[in-house]
Amino acid sequence: MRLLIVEDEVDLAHALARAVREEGFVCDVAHEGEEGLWLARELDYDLILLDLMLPGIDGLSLLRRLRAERPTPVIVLTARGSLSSKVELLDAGADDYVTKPFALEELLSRARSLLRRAARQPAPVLSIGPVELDTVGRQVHLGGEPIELTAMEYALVEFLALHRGEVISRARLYEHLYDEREETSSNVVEVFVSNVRRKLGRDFISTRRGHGYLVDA
Amino acid sequence: MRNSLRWTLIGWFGAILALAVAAFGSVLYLQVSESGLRSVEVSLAERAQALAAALEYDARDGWELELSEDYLRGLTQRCSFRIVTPAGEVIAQGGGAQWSGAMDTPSATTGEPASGVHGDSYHFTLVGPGKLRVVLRSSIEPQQQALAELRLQLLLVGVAILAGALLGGLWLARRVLRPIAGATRAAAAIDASDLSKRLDVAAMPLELRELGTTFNGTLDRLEEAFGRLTRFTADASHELRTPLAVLRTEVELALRRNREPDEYREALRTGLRAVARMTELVDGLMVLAKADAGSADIERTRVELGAAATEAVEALGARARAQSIEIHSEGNAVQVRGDRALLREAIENLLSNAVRYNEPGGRVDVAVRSEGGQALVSVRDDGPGIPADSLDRLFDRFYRVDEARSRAQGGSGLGLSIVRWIAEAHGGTVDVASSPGEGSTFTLRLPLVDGAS
Repeated sequence: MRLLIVEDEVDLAHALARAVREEGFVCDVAHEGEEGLWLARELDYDLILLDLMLPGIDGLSLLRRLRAERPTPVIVLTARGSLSSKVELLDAGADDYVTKPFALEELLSRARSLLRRAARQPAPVLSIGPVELDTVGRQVHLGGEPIELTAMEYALVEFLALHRGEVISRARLYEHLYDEREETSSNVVEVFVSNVRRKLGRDFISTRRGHGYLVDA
Repeated sequence: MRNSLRWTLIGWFGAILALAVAAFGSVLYLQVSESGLRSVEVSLAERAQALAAALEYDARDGWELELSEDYLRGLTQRCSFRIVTPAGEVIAQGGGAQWSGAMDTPSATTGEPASGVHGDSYHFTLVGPGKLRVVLRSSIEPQQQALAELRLQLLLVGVAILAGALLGGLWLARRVLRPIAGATRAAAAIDASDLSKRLDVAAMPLELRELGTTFNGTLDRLEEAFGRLTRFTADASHELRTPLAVLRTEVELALRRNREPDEYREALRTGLRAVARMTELVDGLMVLAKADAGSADIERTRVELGAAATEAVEALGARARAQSIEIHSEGNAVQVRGDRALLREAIENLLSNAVRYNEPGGRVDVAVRSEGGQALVSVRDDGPGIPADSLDRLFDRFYRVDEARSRAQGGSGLGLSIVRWIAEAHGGTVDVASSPGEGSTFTLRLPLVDGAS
């Protein structure tokens, strides 16, 4: 899962980036409106955390312009607590909002929930054959037995499971598992796929040659 | 009730009406009683004349009344008469009513009995031929009875008129005062949650319109002040939320799991930066809250502005050096009257902005001088300048030229509004001239100390 954080308050942006990375997501950070809008248009983010008071394009305009092109889920970080400003946010296309100072756990929980809803998988625990995926505890069970996965392997399983029944290209998987900081090749995805197959069974992820990978519905 | 408009109105109305009714009744009563007596007197006078004319002197018998019994009876109907010699001897008497008692008899020794009312009868005396006195007496009981009746009637009618008028007045007062009650209800319906309501002045009676307009004017000012306060509170809470969010997120993140000492240190440093920003903000808010309440205790002592400016430059020295900005100051001995700490803060705020929004390697000039009877402190920078459309709002609370950029550079957004308040509290002004790309000059103007120039 790849997130974009658009927040001009440098300290807050960095703290949020560290927090979501600890949560097993990858993320990019933009401190200005233009940069944020450009990234949000260029890349297929799973979720955007958007501050409202931004230099250049402000958060609300960014949201409106993004909504004309992309359905990326957006959680707004607002410092205004008034009802009218919240209504305005939601009507401009925000999926959710938190009011500063927000509780970190609440923000992360709303982010997870929004990611599940965006993938039309609202249940926090997904069952795929003998595999059970707990998106809150970030744990995977196979036939009732807990399976140890690395953070990268888990992220791969979670992305495929949330998009079950959909063929995901290697490039798209790479885009969602790595952020701008990484300098690896997308071939690394194949390594993780084979690791996951070894741990969860060959049939858990099937390959559509020339198209990508698939977890069956 | 003592202070009620309605009862005051009715009280005065009633008193004046009662007086009028009483005066009218008295005049009427006096007129009626006067004219009653007059007619008695006139009729007695005529009869006395007739009696006097009928007196004849006979040397043998002396004075005699030459009248037929019938005529005499007709003449003295409903009255009695007596004819008395100057010596007091009664030579004739008679009439429909007999004299009763001696006290009514006019005697020569007591002199002329006056014409007029004696008890319940009227006496009339005419001095006739031979100094004989013709005395007629008529009972005025019927007149007195009629007058007593009139008195009662007047009293009853007067009371009735008064009562009716008071009831009418009560109704009238209520009716006249109804718009006031309506305005009171309308005013009572206006509370802090909705100060936008106004009294409908056009629907008020002419006499109340001025009051209504004044009330609406007060509401206008109240609404404006309330709006300012609400905006200020909202802005203040909004400004506090950002550093609070930094602090909370950083602390919650640090506490999620065990971390390396370096990570904790970094988290604490970030937290401290947020706290420093909140402190600056709260300090500014406190100054402005005091200013708003009008309770700021401003000392009035002689302040050497040049020295205050020098102190401000020294205070900002470290920050300017950190941003490679040179501060040049040029001070003349200029004295003003005021609060030294506040004046220094004003200069410091101007300097702090000049340093904060300047580019590295920039220059800031501070000059203190007197000009045209005023003390001037000008702070000039060669930074990016301020767009013309921002100049108007520059001194507003929380106004920032570039919302986010300025916030990232720190600053509470209150500095210039504090400078303006300090200037105004000292009877001075602060203004700005700026051209984008060339820098800005802020000038603080204060009245010079009397006698100094």
